[in-house]
Amino acid sequence: MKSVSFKNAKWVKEPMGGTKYIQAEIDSIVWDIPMDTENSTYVEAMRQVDAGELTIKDAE
Amino acid sequence: MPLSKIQPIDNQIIPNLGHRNVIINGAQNIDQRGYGGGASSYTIGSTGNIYTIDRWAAFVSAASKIGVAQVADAPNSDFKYSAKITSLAATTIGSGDYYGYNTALEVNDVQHFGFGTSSPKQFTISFWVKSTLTGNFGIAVRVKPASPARSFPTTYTINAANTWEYKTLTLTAESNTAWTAQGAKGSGFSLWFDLGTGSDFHQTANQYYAGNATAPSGTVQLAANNAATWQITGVQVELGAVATEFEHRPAGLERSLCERYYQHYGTQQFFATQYQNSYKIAHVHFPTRMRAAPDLTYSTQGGSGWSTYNVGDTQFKSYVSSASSATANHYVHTVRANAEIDY
Repeated sequence: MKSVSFKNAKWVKEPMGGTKYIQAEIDSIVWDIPMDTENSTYVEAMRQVDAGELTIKDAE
Repeated sequence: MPLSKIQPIDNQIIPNLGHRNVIINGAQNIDQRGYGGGASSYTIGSTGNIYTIDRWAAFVSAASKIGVAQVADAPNSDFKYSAKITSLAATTIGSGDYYGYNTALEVNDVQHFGFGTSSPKQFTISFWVKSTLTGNFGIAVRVKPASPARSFPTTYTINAANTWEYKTLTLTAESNTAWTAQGAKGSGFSLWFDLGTGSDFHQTANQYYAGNATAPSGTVQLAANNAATWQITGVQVELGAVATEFEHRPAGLERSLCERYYQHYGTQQFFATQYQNSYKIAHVHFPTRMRAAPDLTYSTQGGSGWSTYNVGDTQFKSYVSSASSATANHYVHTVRANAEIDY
């Protein structure tokens, strides 16, 4: 079972502090997903990346 | 609770009088996402674990096959609402397909059940259910299926169509440490009501299984029956072998419990202030500390190219490039913060 379906996933690097997060469309809504290992969406995104099921575009 | 209703549980001298129920929003009352807007069904338009009524998710392998709604239909006057799942098609369920209604609990909240310890305890699941279909329905207790995974599939029977029935099941936890492997705030206990799954998820009933099982084979497949409905409310999971009366918590407490996982602020405005000479920054505080730093979606007013910054479990910031001489209103609104458990 894939618990989250991501679309148009990309890394975002905010300009002021340099922190990174993932921006992706889930259930037709664009979400900002923080790099927090207790955040289930982030953990699932990394699992899908490791499994070759998801590609996250690099920050622009 | 009147004294006549107090029952001994596992020979405790002082029975569990309060905070017995580890299920959050078991009465389906809290609905921040808007599934109680009056429609008979809201189509689940995506795949995956799609949260609907607070703490409860439609877990689906194909979009637009089932709908969910919070409806004012309940078994008795103790309850106001139930969740109603409607099959939107006569879906052919392949071996790897799945449709279920699921809630996930943190390890934190089920530690006392003894999962993963040498002293696993009995616990009891109780709920009210109604369906247009009759027969044996699948139900399972599961833990997140990253390796290792564990599950316990079993059944309950709906005897009469379109009639509220009260069901109880008593299980015993197990010592396998998979149940606590996700960490204190991780997935420790998922309760799956099966609405139709393929053979990949079927295993022998009433025993623990090393993998992700959601039902025994041969159970009712709601999703395969166009227009069939299934309703549930009053879901309780508690320590011991006795199903006690449903624990009705105060509305504010139940809402706060839900807000640990999801918060939605419709049109509330969080105004930005000037930060340094070239930015305006809005600071949004969550009234309830969330389980983890949440996923965020929000809208903004003023400027363009807002950036999310410094997300934590109590707050986040968002800022936009804007000179101090720019006096137009800048604010964040329509915030949704999601720290749900994904299984």
